[in-house]
Amino acid sequence: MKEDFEPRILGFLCNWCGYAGADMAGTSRIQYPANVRIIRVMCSGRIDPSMILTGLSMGADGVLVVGCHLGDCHYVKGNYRTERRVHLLKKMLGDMGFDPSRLRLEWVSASEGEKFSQVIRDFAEKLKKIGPNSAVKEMP
Amino acid sequence: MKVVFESLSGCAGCEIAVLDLHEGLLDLLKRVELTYAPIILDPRTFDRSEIGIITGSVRTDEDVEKVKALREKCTTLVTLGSCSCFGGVPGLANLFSPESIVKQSHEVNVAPGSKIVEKKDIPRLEHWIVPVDDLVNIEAKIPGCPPPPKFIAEQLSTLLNGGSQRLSKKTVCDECDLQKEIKRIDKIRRWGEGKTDFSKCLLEQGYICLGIATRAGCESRCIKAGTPCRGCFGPAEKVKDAGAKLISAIASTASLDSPEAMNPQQLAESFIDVVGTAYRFTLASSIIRKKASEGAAN
Repeated sequence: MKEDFEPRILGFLCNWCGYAGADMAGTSRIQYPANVRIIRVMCSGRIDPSMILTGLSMGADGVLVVGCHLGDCHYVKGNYRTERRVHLLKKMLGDMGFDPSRLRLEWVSASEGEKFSQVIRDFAEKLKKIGPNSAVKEMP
Repeated sequence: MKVVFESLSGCAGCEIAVLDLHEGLLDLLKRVELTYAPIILDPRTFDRSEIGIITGSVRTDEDVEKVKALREKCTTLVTLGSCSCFGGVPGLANLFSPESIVKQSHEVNVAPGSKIVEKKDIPRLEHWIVPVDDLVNIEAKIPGCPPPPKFIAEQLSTLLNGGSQRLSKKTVCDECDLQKEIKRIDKIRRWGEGKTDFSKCLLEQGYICLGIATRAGCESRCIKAGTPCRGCFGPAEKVKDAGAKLISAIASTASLDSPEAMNPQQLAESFIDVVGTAYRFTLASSIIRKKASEGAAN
């Protein structure tokens, strides 16, 4: 069954780097799996942990957060906050019985289309190994 | 006007909080007739009533029946205390399976000389704890663990006057008298670690205080007593998930200048028992309300 399992990845991409990087991957015609559903946000620091938790509770198999490289944030310090948030959240997800690697944080700049596609390929591959998010079936 | 109390699985602290109204209780009893309250009164049955008050958490199948019966017989249904409002402390048991809970308390932690009672004719544990408003519609919530007596009296008199309930839209921080400067945490401290300055904001000193994510109404009673807020009033207005908000706030206030808080890994490691702290009273009503059973966990 795991063979034909296609994970659904919820991607939060920051407007200035991550989303532009995905755009770059598109305009450069770089192929990557269609597992990711992208939501553009103005800054990765804008992503509230409740958004990530809601995604997981609604059946996302993985959540990807993409921001600018550290030091490159359009809003100066937004991505430092994201980094802390994601680390705390990963610990919490572990306590809640999730595989913490369902949440992934990546830095992708506007020129790194190749890196973006690599991240999606790698994340989709890892999620295929982990299997479907079982929590959603059990949730009342 | 008839008022009934129904107690589900709980500690009876909420009933005691009502009795703690002392003379205020006499004023209340002038206006209402208390016909059924298992912890306080003798009667075993009740008829149709105007107001039904539920305390305790929905732990067993008997509790589910009680809630449904109460809904049928009462015009106004009120949940009293964090257990019935949000799942409360027992809601943290959602991190374990009912089987492992029973095993732990009846087979592992057995007092010397005691025997395991044959489990017969006792209510079955529900698979997980849910807040009462997941089962039936309710008209009002009186949160708190237990709710302060004064707060109970205020809320009940609003309901007795036929008004609809209004809870504070502020957070505990708005009511807190401690001196607040710039929120920058250098280091997360466990309660009791280091020297505490009781005139300054506890969160600024690195103690995890849930005041920022918690609804006001308690007059910051825990902080006045010299201990951080634990969040028994539940998430503040327009906050769905108090724990997620707390995590977000801790990450935002962690100083970017100090080398120790600079390291996100270290920040996460120094925050002991994230779920138990952030969701002490609200796990059963949060977004992820139950432990996911994944083989690859941790």
